[in-house]
Amino acid sequence: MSQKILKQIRNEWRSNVWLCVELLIVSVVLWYVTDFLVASYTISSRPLGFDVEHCYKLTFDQVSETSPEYVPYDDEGQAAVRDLQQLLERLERRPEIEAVCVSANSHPYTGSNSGGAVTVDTLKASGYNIFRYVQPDFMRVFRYEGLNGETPEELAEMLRQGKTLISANILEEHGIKDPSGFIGKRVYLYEDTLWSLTVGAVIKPVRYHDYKQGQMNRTVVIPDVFWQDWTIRVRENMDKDIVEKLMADAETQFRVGNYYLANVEPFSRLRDNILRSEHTAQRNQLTIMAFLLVNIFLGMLGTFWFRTQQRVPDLAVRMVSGATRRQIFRLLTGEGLLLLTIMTPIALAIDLNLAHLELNTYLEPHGYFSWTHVLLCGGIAYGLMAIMIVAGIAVPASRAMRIAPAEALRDE
Amino acid sequence: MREMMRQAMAQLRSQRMLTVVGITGTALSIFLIMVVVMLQQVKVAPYAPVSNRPRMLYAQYASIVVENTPYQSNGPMSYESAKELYGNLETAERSTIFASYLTVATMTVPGGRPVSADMLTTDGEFWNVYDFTFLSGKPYDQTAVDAAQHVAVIDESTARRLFGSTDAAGREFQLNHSPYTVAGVVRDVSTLAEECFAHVWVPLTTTPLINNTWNSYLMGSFSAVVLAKSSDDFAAIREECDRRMRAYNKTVKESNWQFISRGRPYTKEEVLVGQWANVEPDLKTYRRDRLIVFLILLIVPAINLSGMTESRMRQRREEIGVRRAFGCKRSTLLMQLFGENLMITVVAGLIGWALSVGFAYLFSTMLFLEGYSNTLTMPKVSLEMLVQPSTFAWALGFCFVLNLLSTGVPAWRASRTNIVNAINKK
Repeated sequence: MSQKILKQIRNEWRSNVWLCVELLIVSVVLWYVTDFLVASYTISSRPLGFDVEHCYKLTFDQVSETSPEYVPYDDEGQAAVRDLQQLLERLERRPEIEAVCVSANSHPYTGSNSGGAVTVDTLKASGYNIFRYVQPDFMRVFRYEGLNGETPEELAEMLRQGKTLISANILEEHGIKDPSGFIGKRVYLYEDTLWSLTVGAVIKPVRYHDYKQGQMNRTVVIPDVFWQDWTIRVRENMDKDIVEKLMADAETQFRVGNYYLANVEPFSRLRDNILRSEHTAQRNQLTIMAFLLVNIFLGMLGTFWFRTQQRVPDLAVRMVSGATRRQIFRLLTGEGLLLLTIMTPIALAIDLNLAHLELNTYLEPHGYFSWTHVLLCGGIAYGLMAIMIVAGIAVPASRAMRIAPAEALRDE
Repeated sequence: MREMMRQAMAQLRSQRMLTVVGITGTALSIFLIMVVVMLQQVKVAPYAPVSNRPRMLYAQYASIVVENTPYQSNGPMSYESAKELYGNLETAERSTIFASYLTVATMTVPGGRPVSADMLTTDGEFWNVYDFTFLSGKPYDQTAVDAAQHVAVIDESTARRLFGSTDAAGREFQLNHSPYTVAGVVRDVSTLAEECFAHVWVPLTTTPLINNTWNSYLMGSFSAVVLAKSSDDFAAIREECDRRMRAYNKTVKESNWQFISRGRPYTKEEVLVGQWANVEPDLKTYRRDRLIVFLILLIVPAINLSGMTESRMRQRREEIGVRRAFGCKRSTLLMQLFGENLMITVVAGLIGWALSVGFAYLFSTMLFLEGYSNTLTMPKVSLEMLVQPSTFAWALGFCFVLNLLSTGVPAWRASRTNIVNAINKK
């Protein structure tokens, strides 16, 4: 059988060379796209280390100095802090709200970050580690979890005592997967040796966002008060109309001194916004993938349309001498599939080179290259192309087989 | 010419299936390429209120460094710095300074519900650089800005939400707890005109944003846009900006900070490519990546089409042989085969182009909302934005390339056919 197919391929070698070039290009591009999509999916399905469901971000603004409502504060910011404290307490008293906290450049899905080098005891975590300056209830709002089973409440208590929290991956560059042994040791930020904090607990790694890999997933949580970003967690069954309810009280309850509540937005929106460019990239790659697959279909359809027409008498002879429809179908599609199978090792060789040149997508923990990943993506590309080839050849093949043998062989 | 058309039509009819496959493949390819082109075009093409885009230079951010140290700061400037660096340039027609980002405005009228909207604080020149369409009233000028008058321009939909009508010039309302008067109402702006998009515009002297400064009052919340008399003046403008920067650096010497230009002000395309305030935009890499995408979208269909053209040529070998025998020149044959196919490609290309415009128009929200957005307002496109002469030229250009790729080799081979063999069906 395969010998017959090889002969068929040789007879049509000129147009088969074109098909092969096409299959090769498409196979490599499909491998690249599959690699990207598989990597994106793998990363995003790993645990985030935080939870933003039922969470909202509040924006408090100050009235302009030119406004008649402006109250000049006399002391150095103390009156302002009193006003802010009052707003915080009012939010905490709302029955719908489970937890409130203010933080600076720290909540999930923010574009602004604080960070730098950190030294735990004597070991330095170099580069840009994320520092989260938060009030204790940050743990309850975003439900961070301890590596050794500490609850968000227990973690909040440690922050209340002025202790710091480090993520389990903070010392990964030293090969330490569980830094629990460093609890009670000192932590130094920005290579500053004069000021330090005590490690209270180790938390599970907190990802920067759903698709982030690498250093920005290393976290140090620092107890501090910056009146910058206001975030709340709403009780599970009280999400309904919460934005409207809070905004309805903006002019009364949440209007203190020069401050007023300007905006409430759900974290789902912040998340969508931060992840949008990633999702756009996925959309574009999927479109290219679909486009190439449609082209394989069209290419096969076009090429084999002509070929099967020429071969109708040949097919008729086969049918007369007892070949089943299935066998003939296999003979025709086999030609396309064999071309694909011949080209696949060459494509894989190119794929491997791309991976070695690090032109594909990075995926922790193995990086750009691992045999299983390259072969998995190559396999997916092969499978998808095989389906399109069979579909593309099936149309002209079934048309050719519909002709009665006697009709086709009348000339002979 | 007419002969060619007739032949092409006859060809198309004789092999229906191949024609359908060929046209589908070409149209799909041109469709996708044109969507990619449009995605970029809406961000750089001129249309109201950004009709002057080709003459604009952008200084969205500035960069300052402490010399001989790693310390640097990159981001929007203070109003003071923006004026010193980009205000009243001699080589330019005019320039404007406005907030680098949108803020939330809470607006109320007595007895009405509060309305939240995106606000941009601007100077007076803003209204001369961008061509907004005023439905009622007129813009505020620089005198109003200098005097910190509480006047505002609002868009059509905000006027309706606040006052129930677009004829709102002269009406009063509260904006972030301060009284304001409506100076004018403009037609809604698409978010894709991102540099000037907002729902409310107020003088930059009337909100706390102007006091939002750091790095010794050098950096803040503002951007500058320079409008050149013609794009030929860009080099001269950049030179003057560099001179201005050197002069300004002398006056701010005591702060230890020094401005560096990083090639600013940029063209709109450079702004689009530059994601970060601390890195100069890399147009080369951007254009190379786009070229790779275009090549993938062109080469694979081209191989398909050339396979089909090849089959068609084989059917016509006799005809070609006869014509060659009667003294038809190779170049004439080549031109004819090429022209015939170009006609098919152009027809398919037009279908693809029309599809892409329709698709972009219908699915604008899904298509044009691509990255981080400052506003909740969804991107809207008008046909004026999508049907640009330049995009049309691109479409025709891509058709030509696609045709060259797909008929080049088969036509060349067909024209070199051995006459005797061709006529004898060998």
